[in-house]
Amino acid sequence: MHLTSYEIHTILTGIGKTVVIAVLANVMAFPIGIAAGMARLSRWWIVRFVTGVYIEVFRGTSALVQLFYGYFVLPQIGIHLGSMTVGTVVLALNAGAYAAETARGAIQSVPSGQMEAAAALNLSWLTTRFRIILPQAWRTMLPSFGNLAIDVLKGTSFLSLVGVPEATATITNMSLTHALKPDSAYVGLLVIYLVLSIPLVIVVHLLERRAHRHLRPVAAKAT
Amino acid sequence: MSNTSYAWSVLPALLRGLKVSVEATGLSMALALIAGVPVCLLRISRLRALRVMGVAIISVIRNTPLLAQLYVYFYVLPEFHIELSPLVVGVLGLGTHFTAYIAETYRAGYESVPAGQWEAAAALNLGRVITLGRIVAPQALRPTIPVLANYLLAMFKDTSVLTAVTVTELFGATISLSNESFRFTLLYSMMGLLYLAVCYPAGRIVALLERRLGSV
Repeated sequence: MHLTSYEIHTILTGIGKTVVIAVLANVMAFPIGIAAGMARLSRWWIVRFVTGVYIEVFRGTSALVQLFYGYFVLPQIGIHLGSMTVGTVVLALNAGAYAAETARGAIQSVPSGQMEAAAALNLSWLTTRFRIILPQAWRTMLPSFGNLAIDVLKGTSFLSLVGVPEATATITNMSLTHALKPDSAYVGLLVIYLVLSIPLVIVVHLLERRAHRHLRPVAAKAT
Repeated sequence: MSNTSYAWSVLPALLRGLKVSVEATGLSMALALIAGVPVCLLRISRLRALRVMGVAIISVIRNTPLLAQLYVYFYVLPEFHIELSPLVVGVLGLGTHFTAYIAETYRAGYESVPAGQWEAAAALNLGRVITLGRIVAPQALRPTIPVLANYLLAMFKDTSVLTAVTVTELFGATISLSNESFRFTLLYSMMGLLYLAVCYPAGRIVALLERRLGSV
């Protein structure tokens, strides 16, 4: 089977879209998750309640359902966004809700003595959170954040169902128009996602190494 | 028709969809629980070749989208003259997808059993099969129960993807109703509430299980 250069270009464009959506959604998801995880532990019940509702709603339905909700219901209440924007934001909010629960657990796993020591040293609220608690919690969060990042990549395939021409949509189209045979098309699609997940795995691995660097034994000094 | 009377008139159709979602979840879970055992055994095998095979199966399934996997079953199997009904394709896709996750859960449970248990069994002259089946497996299973319950919940939500291979579950039913009446806001909100009505209480039960049984 030979693909024309136009068809190859279409496939590459689709893969490019998938990458852009996955990267943007991931970049948004983790700050949202950490912020929501911290808000879940807030002193004020109203903040805890609102984040609780956000987390339960986004964890209680699937990303696909949320995507269709955003795509069909938002225009009816006067919010018009492109399908790619809706898709990226929905994926980010969905992963953010899962990340929030991870972040909350990780923050709670930091021994309370750390908080007390920071108070004893008269560190401000901000310094305590960002210089003492979060760096330690970050280590605990990373492995499940890695899984979530891959879930976001996989979730981008749902955007094909609301007309975003990303990898899955492109390949499905080519199979339906007989530019590709179904077997090579769909097995190829699996390979595309498999290859795209490799850099994510590597990035998470590097971040984990970095987060653990102070725990590694210092190399013996040559004398 | 007013919104309220329309909502009542479509509720039976949505509930039928919900029933299909629940059925698909049950069947897929049964498949994944069973298929997870051999995949886990490959993954923890002492033979390197089998271990590599286990890792390969698990990473391919976990790193590719469920939707793409469903398309493979839906479009590629007929090429080999294997014609399956949409629900069977859906159960096969969802079941094999979660097989990878459940195999890893079994492995985590297996690894949580202290080595002393194996040594004690060896000291009592128990065979490898008896040790695995009667000593290790019962201890390994306990902490996996909350994780499996969590996957059951995730699976229920993921049945919505089965719409893409023409299974009329809750999400599919909602789409076809809204394509007729264009009452997107009402129908999608009803659907969201139905999903939440199942998932929120189920999530509470999972949290309770986690506290009671611990977790791997």
